[in-house]
Amino acid sequence: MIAHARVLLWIAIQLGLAFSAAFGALLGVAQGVFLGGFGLVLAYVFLRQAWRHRLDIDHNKRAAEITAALGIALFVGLLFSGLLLALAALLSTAVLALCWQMNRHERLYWVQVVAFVLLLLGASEARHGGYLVMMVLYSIVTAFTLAEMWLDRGSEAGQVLAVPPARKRLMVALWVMAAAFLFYVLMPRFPAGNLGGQMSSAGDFYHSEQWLNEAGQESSFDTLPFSSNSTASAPKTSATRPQSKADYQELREISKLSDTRSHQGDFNYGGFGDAFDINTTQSGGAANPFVVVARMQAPHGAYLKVRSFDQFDGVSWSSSDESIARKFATNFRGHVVLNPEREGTYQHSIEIEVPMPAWLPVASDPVVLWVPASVVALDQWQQPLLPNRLSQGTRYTVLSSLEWHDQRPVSFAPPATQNDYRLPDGFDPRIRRLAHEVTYDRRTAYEKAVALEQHLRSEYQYQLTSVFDSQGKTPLSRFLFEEKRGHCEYFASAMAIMLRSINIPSRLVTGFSAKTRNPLTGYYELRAIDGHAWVEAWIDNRWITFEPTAFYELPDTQVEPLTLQQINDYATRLLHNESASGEVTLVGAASQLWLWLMTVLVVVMAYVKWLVLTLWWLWVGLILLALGLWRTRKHWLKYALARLSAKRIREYQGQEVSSALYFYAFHLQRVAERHQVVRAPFHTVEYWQQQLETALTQTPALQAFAKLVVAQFYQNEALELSEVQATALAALAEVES
Amino acid sequence: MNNASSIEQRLAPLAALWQRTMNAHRFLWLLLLLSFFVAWNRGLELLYGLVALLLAVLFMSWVMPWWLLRSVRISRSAQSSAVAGGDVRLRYTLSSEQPLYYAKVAEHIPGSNAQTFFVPLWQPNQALEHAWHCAQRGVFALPSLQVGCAWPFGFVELTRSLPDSDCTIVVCPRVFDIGYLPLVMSEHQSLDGMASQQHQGGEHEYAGVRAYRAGDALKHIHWSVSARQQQWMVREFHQHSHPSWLLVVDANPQFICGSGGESSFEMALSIAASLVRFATAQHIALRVVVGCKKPLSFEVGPQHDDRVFMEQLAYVEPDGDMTYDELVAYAQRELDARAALITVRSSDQPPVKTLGGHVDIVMAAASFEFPLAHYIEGWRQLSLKQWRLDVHRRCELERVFNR
Repeated sequence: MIAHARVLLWIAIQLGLAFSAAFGALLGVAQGVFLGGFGLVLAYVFLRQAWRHRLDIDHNKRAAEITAALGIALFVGLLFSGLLLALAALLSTAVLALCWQMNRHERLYWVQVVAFVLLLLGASEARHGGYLVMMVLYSIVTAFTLAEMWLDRGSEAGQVLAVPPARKRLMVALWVMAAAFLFYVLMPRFPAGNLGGQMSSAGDFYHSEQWLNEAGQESSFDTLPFSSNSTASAPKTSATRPQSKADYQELREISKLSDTRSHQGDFNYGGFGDAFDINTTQSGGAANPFVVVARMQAPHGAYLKVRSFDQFDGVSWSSSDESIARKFATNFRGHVVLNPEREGTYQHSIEIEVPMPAWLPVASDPVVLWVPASVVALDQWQQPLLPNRLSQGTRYTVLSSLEWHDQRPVSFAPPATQNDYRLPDGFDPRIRRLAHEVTYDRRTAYEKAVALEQHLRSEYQYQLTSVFDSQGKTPLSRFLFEEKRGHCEYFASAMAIMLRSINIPSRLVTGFSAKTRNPLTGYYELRAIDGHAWVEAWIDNRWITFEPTAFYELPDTQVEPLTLQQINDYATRLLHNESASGEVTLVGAASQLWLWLMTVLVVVMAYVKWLVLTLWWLWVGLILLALGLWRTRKHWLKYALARLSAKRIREYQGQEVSSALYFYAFHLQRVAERHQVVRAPFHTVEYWQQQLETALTQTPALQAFAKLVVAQFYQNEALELSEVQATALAALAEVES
Repeated sequence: MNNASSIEQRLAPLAALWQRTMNAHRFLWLLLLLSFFVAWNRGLELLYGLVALLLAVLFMSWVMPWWLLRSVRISRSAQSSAVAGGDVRLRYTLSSEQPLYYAKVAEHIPGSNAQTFFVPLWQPNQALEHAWHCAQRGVFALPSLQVGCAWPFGFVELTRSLPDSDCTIVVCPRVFDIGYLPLVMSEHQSLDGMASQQHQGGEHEYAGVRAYRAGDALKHIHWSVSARQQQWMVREFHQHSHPSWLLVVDANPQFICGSGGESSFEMALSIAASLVRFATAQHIALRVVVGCKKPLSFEVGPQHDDRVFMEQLAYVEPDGDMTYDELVAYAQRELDARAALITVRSSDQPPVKTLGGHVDIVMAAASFEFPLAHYIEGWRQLSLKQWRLDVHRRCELERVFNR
């Protein structure tokens, strides 16, 4: 039974925070604040009522049952809106029902457990680092609540007269926060298990009756996906052009799905369209290049492919084949196997934050999909797309094969065709010469491709904004031989064309460089600036990824295990992006400020890291030494202090009798401790001197000193400073003897 | 309904196991494990953050009590002697420099289970008093003081033993009120006894009036004074030849039945202590002899404070080597042969032969082994001068002595 009503307020605040955090993560900040406030009031009212009727167990039990029944009804009602929301509602009502049942003290702890689970549920859905603030607030309140709960136990609580002050409890909360932060940054992270974590959801369900009817039927076109394993390295001929009215209708539909220009506020990176001009395209298809357009949960970063282009006319890239190769109907969970021949090893879940074209950004090669759609299509390059443009809130999960060759992602998409060899009209022969110059001493196609990549990465400078006017028809020549700077589309185009010029099939790929992992949320943030173009070359019967833009790095195969390192990486990455952007916006300024703070943090952490990692032997030695000194302090500390005090007594030049006596008394006591005589606070100086006399036999000077102390402080006699000094020095000589 | 009850019955062992093995601290570890599993499965930082939070709560639950207890110093002292079955008040002073929060002080008073008291806030140099239940008579050097601390959350309670906190407590025998003792006289005395002090006679001299006590003869009531003072008052006389009693308590361990605070020896001491109080209150001369190795002997008179005698009885140990006959003979020979004799013995001991006034209190030996069996209890007059009182372990002595 609760003994003090004041614990009720703490519990109510704690529950309000838990509700606010969980529903804020599930429904949005405004709804979270409202429901948190409502929950706080409701919890407090329930707790007060339960407290008022605490002797009427039947009354409280009835109220708890009604609350629990309402919770079940709410759960059933909300089940169709989403399992997690329904679960959060059920947990909330369960905790409110427990509020009625406080006649047993253990139930207070059950309330804590359920509230924590609610917080856990919210954390699993939170996409923003702001959730951490809620967690901190919750922890501070919990520190108070738990302290109150421990005071409030059974009959003993009735005897409580004085409780620890609030300042002390706040200190505890801060200590807990500090310890939690330390554990948080040092706790190793293991690759996610992803057991049952294949989720998909969206505000709008993606459905196309026509696609569904066509699902499972063979494509009307020649080229089908998944044929790469059985295909020889010899390039195939180009895909056939549409012949019928239906084919043209489908092409129109695809153009609509891939339109990057007509939707205000959408992510409009030209590289996601059906064709794009490298002069006008620049990374960051949004007003603010730092806006998060999607979030990815994955064990490590990846290059997410969206579109592939094989035709280049010198200025624009386009696809030689816009047709849809195949359509798949999903099951009731949105689950569909795209390629049963390959094994999926890399699971990643992506949530779209800003609407974009219908192509799903996925790591290559997608094997299994969980999508909020009745049907999924694959284009000729084996990239999945949905029947509608991707809307905000769309979440899907992909299991990809993601194989590697020499730390480079490898794709087994349909093999190269003649288009992947084709050079643009008016091709500048200097480009071929440059390619030959760079690769003349390399023997294999792979070595040549690597040499070209390294040449572009080392000799050319990245610049986010375009430096070319769109009038020129030979932007690559200007990029390669005159300006020697540009954005990623120039680098990728240049490398693709240089590869083709030395007979290595290649193509340009657009997508996202998903490498910025927010260390607070654990999600990879796909910002507008991460919209990117790179190169794939057909070497040894597979498409190998090359990254010619020095600004970007190919993804690592594993994430840094320590949060400290992740924070470092995150800050570096953001700084990196910021340096590429020349724009000054309000968001950009805020980002700059934040980056500056992060930079300070990173520098501090980097120094700490350096100190820890490079001088670890020194720290270990110092800690061991300190421990040893601490353990043996009984044997040396008093002697050391005695020596120090003796030195200070000899050097002391007092100005005033009273303070001099204090000084001498304090330090003489320290010196005397080497004789095992310790003056307790309640011992008089005379008593202390007598104790010392039994240890030293003769202490006339010390006796005289004690008399001086008594004369000064108890008899108000006027003393000479010189006399005090002389007596103290004589006493020191006695004590040291 | 039957199904529900059968499910409850089936789950009962599981619930009992849960109650037996689970506490808040263990549950926190379990929750931590589950949270870590969820965090690992989803691979989300915020979930790891909650794991870190739980870990921090556990860490601080261990570190903070250790930090507060590492230099704790508490002195303790007994405020007064106690009576078995009553409380002893101990005073605790915290002499550390920092306050102690959520402290639990535990004492192991011999004869009682471990007892604790909780102090939410204990300031330096603050003295606290607490009453501890004492079940057993004796003089005990208390074992090291145990101080626990559960600050700040109560999930972990660390305990530290403070060996420097010496403290000795004196627990006197249990005392009950005696309202009746039969009238017997020694072979050298005229008829006297508990009610004989107020006898009016040639050798008695009027001393004054006092308040009526149970057992006073009605003829001694001073009616006019009673009317004035609105309470019963009796005349009191000085008695020139005081009646006296000789109480002999056996302390030979061979004849002690039972153990600990429930032994025949403790019962005998309890009777002796009660008689001491009775004698003090009734102005009876009583000499008490306890047959320890070094026999204890003291005389209770009207002016004495009985606490002194009680504390003497607290110190006695059952280590005597005289038989009861020898002890009685020794007491009568050495101390007061004329006094009426009160013997307290177990039924295993043969009765003491005496010609004078004698109250023989016999404790049923078997009752200390088999307390639930039926045993006779109560007074029997064996002769004009000799009475016998049968008691047993579960006997209510106060009722028997107030028949």
